[in-house]
Amino acid sequence: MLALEEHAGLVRADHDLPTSDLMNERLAAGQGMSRPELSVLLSLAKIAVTAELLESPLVDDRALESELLAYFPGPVVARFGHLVWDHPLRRELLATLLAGDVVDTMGQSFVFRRALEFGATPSAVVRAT
Amino acid sequence: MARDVCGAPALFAAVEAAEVAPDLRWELSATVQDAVRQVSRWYLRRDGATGDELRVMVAQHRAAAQAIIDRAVQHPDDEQVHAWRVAGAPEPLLVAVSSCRLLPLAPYLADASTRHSCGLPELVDAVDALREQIGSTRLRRSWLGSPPARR
Repeated sequence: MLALEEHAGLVRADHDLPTSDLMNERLAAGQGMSRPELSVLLSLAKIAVTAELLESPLVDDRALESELLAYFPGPVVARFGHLVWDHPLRRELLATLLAGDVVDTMGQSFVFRRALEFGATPSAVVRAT
Repeated sequence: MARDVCGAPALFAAVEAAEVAPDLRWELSATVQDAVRQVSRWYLRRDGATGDELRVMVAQHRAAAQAIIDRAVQHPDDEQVHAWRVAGAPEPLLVAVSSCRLLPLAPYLADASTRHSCGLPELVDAVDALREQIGSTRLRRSWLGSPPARR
């Protein structure tokens, strides 16, 4: 949550997420976040990473074409695969796919924490990951 | 890149699909996650290649990762693997996940192979000899714990 507050403008109260004090109380009681809270954070992390990627040149890198092709059904790729890179929503699709993959497999805070650790942009972290 | 080099998407899918206890699933998943996390460090320390250059680099690193996996598969036994086996992990899955643990070395070996014109198999042999001597866990710790300048 701290990373999302710093990098993605998260306002906890807007999403009924616990304050730091409440989290400290929970931790002292051996508790963590509830599943609904984690689900909200997961969604917010994906939205934040997607927004970062849309502002970066990463989604214009042709090396990621295979990721884009994998999104479309086989018969579409077989007939129109050569046109997929020119899809008008190519950048949005790639950003959403990449953000979803990275957040799902590496966790909600991974991208922004790594960015902080290495002084890198979130898109550089996604690219490296 | 790191996920491609580690073959992580397939591994994550295999861990998700396995019928194992939640704790074991978490541990196997965390092992793959850790490999991706460590490999990604290599790329974060270097300027970004793009396009064809990126594809070639990932292919080289993936080849190094595969060479490490092929060698590791021949020696799948250590304490951690044994614990996973006892906990009920299917053999192919635990072999695949345990092979991940040395994948953070893949970009370094591929890079050294290119820069010093030495064969990748010889480098992997050297790493394997070291692994045999000190064990996967210690090798991994000593490698990842060493300062970047010595790598």
